[in-house]
Amino acid sequence: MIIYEKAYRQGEILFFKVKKLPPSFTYNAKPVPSGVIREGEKEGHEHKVEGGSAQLSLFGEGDTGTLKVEEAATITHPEHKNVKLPKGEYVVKVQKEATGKHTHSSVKD
Amino acid sequence: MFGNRGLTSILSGKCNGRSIHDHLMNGRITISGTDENNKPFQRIVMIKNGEVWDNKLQHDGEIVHHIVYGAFESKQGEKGREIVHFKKGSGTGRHGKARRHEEIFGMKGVCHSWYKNGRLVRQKFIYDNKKTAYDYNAFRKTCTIKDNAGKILYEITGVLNGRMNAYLGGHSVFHKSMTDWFCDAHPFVVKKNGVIIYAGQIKNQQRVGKWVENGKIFFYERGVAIPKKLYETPPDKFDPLKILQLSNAQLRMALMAKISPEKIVEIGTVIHKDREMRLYDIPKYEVRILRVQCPTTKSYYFLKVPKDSQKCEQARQWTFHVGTDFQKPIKFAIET
Repeated sequence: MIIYEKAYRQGEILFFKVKKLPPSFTYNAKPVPSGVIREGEKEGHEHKVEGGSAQLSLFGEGDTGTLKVEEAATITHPEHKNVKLPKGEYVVKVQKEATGKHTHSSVKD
Repeated sequence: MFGNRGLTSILSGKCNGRSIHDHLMNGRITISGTDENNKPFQRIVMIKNGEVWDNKLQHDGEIVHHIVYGAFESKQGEKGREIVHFKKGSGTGRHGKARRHEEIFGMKGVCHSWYKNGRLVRQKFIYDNKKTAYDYNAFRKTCTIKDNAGKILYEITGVLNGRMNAYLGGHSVFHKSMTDWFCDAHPFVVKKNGVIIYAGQIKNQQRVGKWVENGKIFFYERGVAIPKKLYETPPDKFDPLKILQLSNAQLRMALMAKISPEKIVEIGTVIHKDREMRLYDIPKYEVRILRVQCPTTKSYYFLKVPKDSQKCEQARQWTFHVGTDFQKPIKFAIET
């Protein structure tokens, strides 16, 4: 279980501010220098981390990851209002959907 | 550097982090120096009653950009509304006339811009050989753009995007790439040699209807590109279940909006209601459908949730991984 202090949401992307990142989240996470959390179905419609010196890492199917914000960061998307994230460490997750086969998949936007 | 309501501060990049904050009600400020390209420049700003009413930028003694703030008077003429008088020095920073030397389509000239309430109401570009490139009037929404030999380059219809340009330098709208020429909310068309090369419209930051890009035709429903056949299919010909079975939530949203979100009750029943949310059960479908509303675009999304979901909020929380990664329901500090 993840213990978080504050939660933020932009569309299907969820951010949970944590005191310390769970160790399991730091394994196999690949840094994403572009800051693009998720490419949208439409060209240019991506959820992106901008500003500050934020470090984004994603793993698995790219639907889970971590975000370390040194100062403050802004999450942008052309169809959503910006979300400002204060300094801290975040668990990044994507909203999920049922498949009907006792499994789930991430919401595809 | 300068606020549109007088000088508020000068922030220097090379002052060891210090900044100068000062307020000037009346007077003139002249700043001379070299810019980031090591080019000598001079900025002269006139302040009246605490408001900037004249702002001039010179490079090597030549005026590169000059904006005068003031009020416009317009009247309805035969060809539409036109500006008949400009009273300089009476502006609030949102009305003004700008003049800038620059280059469009590789040809040099002077761009004259008129701003009212921060909106571009007229823009005229005259090449250095005195030929007019274009004379755009926002009240008419059409204009022809020519090169410096008088040959037509483009014919356009739409509202040009000149927002905030009053403060940022009075640039020609055509200085930017074609995708940034127009205001989003109005339909626009760009023709070259009589052929439409770029056209479309944006609503709620989403592309809608027929678009033309580089001569190719695309069809959009709520920002999602869909095949022409789907776009032209009458709403009553769609099977709501087939739409709900699509894997892409954005496409589901777009097509359900096309056929009307209420169509879902023809194939299923509402199990639970909670504000804008609806939980639907559809016989012989292995999941339930949760209708949620996007707080920003107000579009309805139809999410697949487990078949045993009973309440809207419980189903919504399930999509946030409550029950697997989180114990308690999540309350978001910000949701957009």
